[in-house]
Amino acid sequence: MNDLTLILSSLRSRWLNSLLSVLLTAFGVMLALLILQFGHHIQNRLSADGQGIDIVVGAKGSPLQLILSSVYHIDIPTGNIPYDEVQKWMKHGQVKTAIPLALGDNWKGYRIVGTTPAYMKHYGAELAQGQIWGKAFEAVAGSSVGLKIGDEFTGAHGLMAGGHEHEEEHYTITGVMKPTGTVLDRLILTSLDSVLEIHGHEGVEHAHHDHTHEGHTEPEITALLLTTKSPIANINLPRSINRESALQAANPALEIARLTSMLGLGSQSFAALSALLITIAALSVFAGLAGSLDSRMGDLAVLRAIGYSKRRVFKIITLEGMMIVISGLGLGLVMGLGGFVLLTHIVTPLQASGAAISFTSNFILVLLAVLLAGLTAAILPAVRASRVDVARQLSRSA
Amino acid sequence: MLFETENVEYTANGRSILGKRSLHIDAGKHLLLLGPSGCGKTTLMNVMAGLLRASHGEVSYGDKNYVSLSDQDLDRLRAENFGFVFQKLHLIGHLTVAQNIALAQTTPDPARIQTLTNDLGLSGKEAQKARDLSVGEAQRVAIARAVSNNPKVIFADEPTSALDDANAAKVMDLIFTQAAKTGATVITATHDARIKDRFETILEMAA
Repeated sequence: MNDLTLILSSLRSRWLNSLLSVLLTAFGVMLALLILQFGHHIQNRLSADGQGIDIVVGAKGSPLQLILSSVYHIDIPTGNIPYDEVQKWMKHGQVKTAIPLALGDNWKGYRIVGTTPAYMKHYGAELAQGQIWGKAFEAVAGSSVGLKIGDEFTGAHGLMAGGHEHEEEHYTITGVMKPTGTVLDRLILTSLDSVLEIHGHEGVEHAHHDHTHEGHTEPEITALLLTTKSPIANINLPRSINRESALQAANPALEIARLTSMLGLGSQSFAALSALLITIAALSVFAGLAGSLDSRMGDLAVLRAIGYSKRRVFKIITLEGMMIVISGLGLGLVMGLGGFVLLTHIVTPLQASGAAISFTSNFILVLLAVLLAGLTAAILPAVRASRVDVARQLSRSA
Repeated sequence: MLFETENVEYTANGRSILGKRSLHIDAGKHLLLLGPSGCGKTTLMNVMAGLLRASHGEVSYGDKNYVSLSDQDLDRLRAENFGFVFQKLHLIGHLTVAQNIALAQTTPDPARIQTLTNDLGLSGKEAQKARDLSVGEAQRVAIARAVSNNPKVIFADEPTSALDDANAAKVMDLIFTQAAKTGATVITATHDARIKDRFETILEMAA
C-alpha cells in the first residue's frame, strides 16, 4: 500500500482534528494576507496621493490635520486662510508650482474642491469625457463619483454627507476624469470662484478689483499645495512661512511618517503581526500532529516492526503535516484574496480608493513563511514518531 | 541454519534479561519459547526479529550477523523475511482489511491478498475497516498480514493466550497452514503450554 493512501486514511480518521488544523492555518494565512493587502493598499494610497507635494500651507492648527484634509481629503480642514496672503507664497522664488484648494461642500460625501487646472495636471489626470470647467458652477467629476456629463447637483455644506444644501446654486458636470488611482478619483473639481462665491466670498478675480461686491467678504481658501524648486526649500520655506505669517506650513512626508509610526502602520508592524499569525497557524499544525501522536504510537510501531524504516515513518508524518499546511494555505489564499475582493466591493472607501489585489514580494514571502513554519511544525512530531520504541509500544498498547 | 544466537543478552534498566542465551534453529523447525510472564521470551523473540538490539552477544539470520547490519538493513531484513502476529494484533483501525494486509507487502500483490482473504474466511470483508471487525476476524486479518509477503519466518507473540481451547487450536491451525504454504518457520513466544505439541523445538524459560 502506498504511503499516500495511508496518510489520507489517517487524516480522514481524525477528520475533526485535521479540519480544525486546516481551518486554523487557513485563518492565519487569510489574516496575514488581508493585513498585507490592506497595508500595501494604504501605503500605495499614501504615496500616490502625496506624490510630489512638498509643502502644504493652511490655517494654524494640527499639521497632520492640515495634511489629511488637504492632501488625502480624509479630515476636517484647520480653517481658512486669506487669499491675498497666500499669493505672496504662491509667487515665492523657491516655489515651482502652487495649487490653491477651497473646500467646504460635498455631494453625497464626495468633496467639492475649488481649485485650478494645475491640480489635475499635478496628478496627471486626463478627461475621459467632456471638458474642464469654463465658468462658475461647472465641474469635473472623479472616476469613482458616479456623475456623468450634463448631471446637475447642489452641494451640501460640510465635508460629509448630510449637511444642508446650497439650493440657490446648481453645479453642472462638464467633464469626467479617467481613473488615476489617486484621491482625484473621488473628488468633484470646480473653479475656485465657484466655491468662494457660494460661501459669500469675493471671487479670486474680483479680489483684484478696488471694490468688493455687496455682502461678499474678501476671498479665503482652505489650503495651498506647493512643490518647490529644490529639496532645501522643503526645509527652509516652511520655516519662513511659519515664522513670517499667520499661516501654517507642513511637510506631508514628515507628517505621514509620523502618522504611520503612531498607528503602527509601518512595515515592521505588519511583518510582526503576519509572523504572529503564521506562528499560530504552525502551532495549530503542531498541536494537531503532536496531540494525536500518543494514540498512534502503536500503529507506528507496527509499521516499524514490519519493515518501515525510520526515514519512511518520518516522511509519512511530515507529509501528513504538510498536507494540512498546504490545504490550509490554499484555503487561506482563497479566503484572504476572496475576502479582500469582497471587501473592496462592499466597503465604500475601499471601492472609491480603487483597492486591488497586489502580488508583491511580501506576498510570496508570506506563502514561503507558512510553508517553512508548517514544515518545522510537522518535523518535530515526525522525529518523535520515527524514534518510536517498537518493542515497548507493541507490548503495551492495544 | 536459519538462526543462531551466541551468548545473547539484553539489559534493561540495569537488569539482565536473557542470561547469555545461545541457540541454533534450522529452517522448517518451528520453535516455541515457553515460559511464564517476565521470563524474557518476548524479549528474546524481539532480539531475534531485530526489533531490539542485543546488549551483548551475536544474533545471525542465515549469513547475516545483526551486529554488522545498520538499522536500515535490519528494517529491510524484517520487511523481506519476517512476518509478525502480535499479542494484541495491532491492526490499524482506520485502514480496511485489504489495506492492513497490504501494509506488509514490499511489492503490491492484490491477487495474494485475495487468496489470503479467501483462505482465512475473510472474503467479502476486504473493504471493511479493521476497527469494525470482531475479535476472531481481527485475529485472522493479523495472520493474513503476517504471511502476506511470503515470509521465511513468522514470529507470533502469545497468539492464543486469551483464547479457549477450540479457538486456540483454530488460530494455530491457521498459522501453521499458512506457514506450510510458504515454507515459513514459526517462532512463537507464549506461556500457553496447550500448543507445545505443534513445535519441534521447545525452549522452556524460567522467570
